[in-house]
Amino acid sequence: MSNAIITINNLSKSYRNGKTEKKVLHNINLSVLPGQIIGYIGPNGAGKSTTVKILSGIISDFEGEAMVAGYDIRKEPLKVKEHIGYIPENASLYETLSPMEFLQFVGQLHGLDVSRIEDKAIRLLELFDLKQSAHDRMNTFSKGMKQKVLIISGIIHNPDVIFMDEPLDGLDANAVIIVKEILMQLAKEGKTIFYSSHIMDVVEKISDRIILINQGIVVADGSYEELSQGKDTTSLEQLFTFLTGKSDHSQRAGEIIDIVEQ
Amino acid sequence: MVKFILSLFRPFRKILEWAGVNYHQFEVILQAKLTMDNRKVLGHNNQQKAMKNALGMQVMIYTMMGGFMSMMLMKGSGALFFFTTIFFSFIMIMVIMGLISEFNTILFDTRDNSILLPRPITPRTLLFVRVMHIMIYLMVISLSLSIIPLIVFAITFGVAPMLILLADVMLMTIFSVFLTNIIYMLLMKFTSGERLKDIIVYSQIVMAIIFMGAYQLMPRLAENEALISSFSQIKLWMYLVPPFWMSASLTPIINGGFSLQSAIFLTLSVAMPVLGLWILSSVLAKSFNQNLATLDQGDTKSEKKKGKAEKATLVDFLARIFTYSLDERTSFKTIWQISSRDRKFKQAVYPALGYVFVIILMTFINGHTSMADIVESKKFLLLIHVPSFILFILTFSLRFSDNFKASWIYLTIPVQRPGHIISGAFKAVTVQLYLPIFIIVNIVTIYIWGAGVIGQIIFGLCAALMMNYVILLLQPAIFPFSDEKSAEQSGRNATKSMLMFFTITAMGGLHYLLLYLNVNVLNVLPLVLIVLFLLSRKYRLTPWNKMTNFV
Repeated sequence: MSNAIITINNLSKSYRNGKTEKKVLHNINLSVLPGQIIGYIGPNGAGKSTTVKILSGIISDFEGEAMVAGYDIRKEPLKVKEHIGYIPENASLYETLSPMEFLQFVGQLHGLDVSRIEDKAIRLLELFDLKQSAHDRMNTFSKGMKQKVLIISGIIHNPDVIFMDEPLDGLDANAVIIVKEILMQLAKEGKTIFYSSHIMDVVEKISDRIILINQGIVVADGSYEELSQGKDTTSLEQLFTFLTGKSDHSQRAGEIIDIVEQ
Repeated sequence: MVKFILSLFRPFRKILEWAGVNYHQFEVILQAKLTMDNRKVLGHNNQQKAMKNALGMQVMIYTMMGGFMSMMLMKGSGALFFFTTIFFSFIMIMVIMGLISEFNTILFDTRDNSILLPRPITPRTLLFVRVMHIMIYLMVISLSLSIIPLIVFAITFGVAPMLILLADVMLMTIFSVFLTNIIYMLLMKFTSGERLKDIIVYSQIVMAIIFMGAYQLMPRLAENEALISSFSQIKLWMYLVPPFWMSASLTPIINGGFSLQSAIFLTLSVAMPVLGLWILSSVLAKSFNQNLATLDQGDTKSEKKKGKAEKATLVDFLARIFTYSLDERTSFKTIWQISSRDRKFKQAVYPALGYVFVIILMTFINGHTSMADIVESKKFLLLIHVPSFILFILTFSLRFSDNFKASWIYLTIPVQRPGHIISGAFKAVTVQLYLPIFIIVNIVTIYIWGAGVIGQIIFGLCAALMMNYVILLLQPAIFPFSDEKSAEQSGRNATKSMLMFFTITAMGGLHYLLLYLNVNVLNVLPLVLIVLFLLSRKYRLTPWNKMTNFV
């Protein structure tokens, strides 16, 4: 696909620990079109975060090729980073700064004008119910409040591609709905969302394409309708269970209760 | 302050840009980093307050330390080479220690991975920010250490030599940063993230012990004429030791007699730090960022520790001997495991184990006392009571942990008496860390003074434990590893050290008094044992309403 905004060819990644090497991604090939919302799902340790970190330029030692926004992530990482937003899994922030100071900091690194950042930041903080705390230090914030600041910092510079790693972690129900709406509206405007999550119902509702990764290998790729065709499943959760080969949940639950009750 | 520091870089904007730095981004990141440094946080949980005068306090302490150093420099020009070498070594050690102790906020801030790495920032800009941030932090240390020596130097030798000393101090700082970075990079290359953190903790411990040893040893060296006179000639190995570069080029400038040798040392003192800075910024830039990114990718290791099963059996056995109830035993076993793994705890306690040996060693090598004189003396009291230092450190450190939030578990378990938990915890660390050292040290006591001192040793041990229970009962009762160590509490260390010193001296003094009065300690022992039993029982029965918790 020549007009793809993300192209991955034979992407592999290993972690070395002393003499042992653990391969977490095995020759992944993907092509993502502008405006798509990709639900990137998989069990714990499947390689989701590693993929997102490679595509965001955080991990630079990998095998294979990765192109984002028309640029090779290995050859022109800065060009890629100019076009992306990244929302990490853990609320990693400089917590002794206030949200306003942090957003000013991030905005300036993306080359935005100070007064423009301030204007955008205050309006975004207000929409996320954080205006009252705009100048408070974030070390007193709840997990959800920090997550909201992270989401704003990932989109304030209007990126073409947004990589999200469990972005809804810790958010209240209203904030979750807002973020879902934001993602869908951004996609309509041609922005690409690469959304990695465990929360299946959100992925099912917002993604127009679902990629399932298991033990570093893509095991399914398509819309929910395509993936569930011919399978006896009524939700993405069931489909996930089916595709990852772990369908003995009720048996396991029974065994757990047996042990607890012993 | 932040703006002032940033303004110092503005004249060099063109040079930085020429070196490939995006100056705007450089300034933005450095500003954020310095702002965060200025807002060091103290207090626990969410009641955090901004630390006031943290920097001021730090500067004051270092200035005082530098003041002690300057006493040596005041000895005049006779042994200038020797004393300036000691001074530059001191600066180098302090800078390296500063870099090691602040490694996670200054050198390896892994938050940078998710905040800075996905932004369009060149590796060169990031590296320059990192290097400059480190430099600013360490220049504060080295310059505060040098304030008084610089004044003394100016008064003794004049303004020009003082300025040269100042330049040397700055060059020494730069070189120390380079040296530490090289070591870190090598470690990062060959070890995983978790193992690197372990190595850093152990090197901090070793450095602390070396520092304590040097602190004890230095005054003795300063009076050692033979050693000072050995510095009268330049030897080949001196070309390899950085502090000599500075001192061997500074001394002839002041005393005269500048030679080819001095010129070589002068060249080394200027060229090596500059070369180091260049290597750091141009050659090592890329690999450092890459290595940093891998630091928090987690370990995939699942190594099985040898002898784990046997160890568990030993802990089980010890728990059965030293505890009364199941709750106390459970706490004993769990705290034993945590204390042997928690880095923060090791960092606080392990240096004390080393200090004990340093103090004992120094006392015995002091002067020219013969073995016969030692046997005649009552120095065994020292061997009996100095290990109490460990006991008190354990008491003060047991409450702190980085994972203090995990202590919610204590509040959810149906334990009737929380005292069993805290008592089990205290017993675990005492048996694990205090008793072995006490036994090792006192095997030496028995070897030197004979079996006759066994009674004194048992009395000393019981007295130390008794005193420690008194301290425990006077303090607020806190679950183990349930509090966050803050800057404020670190500041209270000086008071605690004084209290410790006073208690140990008082105990030793009392013991000495009993010996002086010819009181047989074995007659007093039953009383001590009864008090010890009652105190430990009282501590074990601490009720819920006496517990302080920070969750």
